[in-house]
Amino acid sequence: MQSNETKWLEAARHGDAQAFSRLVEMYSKPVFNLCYRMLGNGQDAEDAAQESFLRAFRALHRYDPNRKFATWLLSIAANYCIDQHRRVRPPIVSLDDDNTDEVPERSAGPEKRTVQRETKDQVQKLLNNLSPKDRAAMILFYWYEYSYIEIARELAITESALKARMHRARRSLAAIWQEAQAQPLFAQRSVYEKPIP
Amino acid sequence: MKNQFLDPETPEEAVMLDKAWLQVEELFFAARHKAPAAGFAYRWQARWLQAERRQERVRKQWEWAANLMAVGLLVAVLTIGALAALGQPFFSAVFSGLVSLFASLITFMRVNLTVLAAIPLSAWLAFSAGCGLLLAAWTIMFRRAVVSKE
Repeated sequence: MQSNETKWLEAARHGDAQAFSRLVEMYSKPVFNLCYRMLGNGQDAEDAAQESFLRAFRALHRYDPNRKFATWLLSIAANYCIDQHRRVRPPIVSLDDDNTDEVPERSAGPEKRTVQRETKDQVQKLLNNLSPKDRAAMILFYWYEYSYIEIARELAITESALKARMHRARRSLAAIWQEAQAQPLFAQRSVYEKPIP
Repeated sequence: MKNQFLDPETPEEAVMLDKAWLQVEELFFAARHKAPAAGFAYRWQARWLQAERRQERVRKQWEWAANLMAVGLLVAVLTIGALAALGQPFFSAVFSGLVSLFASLITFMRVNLTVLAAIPLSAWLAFSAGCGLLLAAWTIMFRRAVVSKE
């Protein structure tokens, strides 16, 4: 796998789009998942993921082969999504027009699927309360198991600033969760419509 | 807005906040990875081709514009020159004005080059070092300002 990746990367660096599309296939899931968690809906996530790959292909001459390709790629996607948030505020998560696939779990019965769907809704609603940079940090930490040093480097902030941000984000999420648990209309609460200042 | 969970004042509040966080963390761990609809790589290839075509079109438009401008300038200079040669007083004045403007520009550049060439190498080095130091100081201050904002 690694040697294939190196081979495709080398070809792509010389402008071979076919080779790069192999890398697109290989990394479409992690990049898409990151964009989905950042932007909150399938359509925007697809667009952001496609654009991230396009930017990566054009910036391949700047890629340092000593660095892990996936890390470099995900940092492009994360920063692109942060920029998108700055430009236009994305709509609140729409769960009905979701054209994405969950990574399938064979044993999931109807009850389990319902629980999974509820979990998905809650996770996305919680994430929507964070600022784009905080959200990126949390996603890279919990879904991609990046270390603080790696996240700080990718988001161009110091490690101490990142730790402070994540501490603040965790407390915010815990507070929102605690409040939401106390009220029945979790899904319709306005608290999810704007980030905590 | 005062939020007891964000700013716990009692140990009980802090414990509740911790418990709530553990539940959120469990939700995060339970949430599975999302995957794009099938054919993502094909859609990327189509998008890349489209972007390439658009880039090529823009490049060609710029080339056309540059060529048109060059031709237009050449035609204008030749026309003014021809009219001046035919003895039209207005065009003659415009043409000689253009020529003297170019001549002044060349003289100005030549004088500048002479002055610059007279400056010794050590002075150049000192000047460059000064500029470099100022730039470095500015970069450090800018970085600090950005980091403190964070």
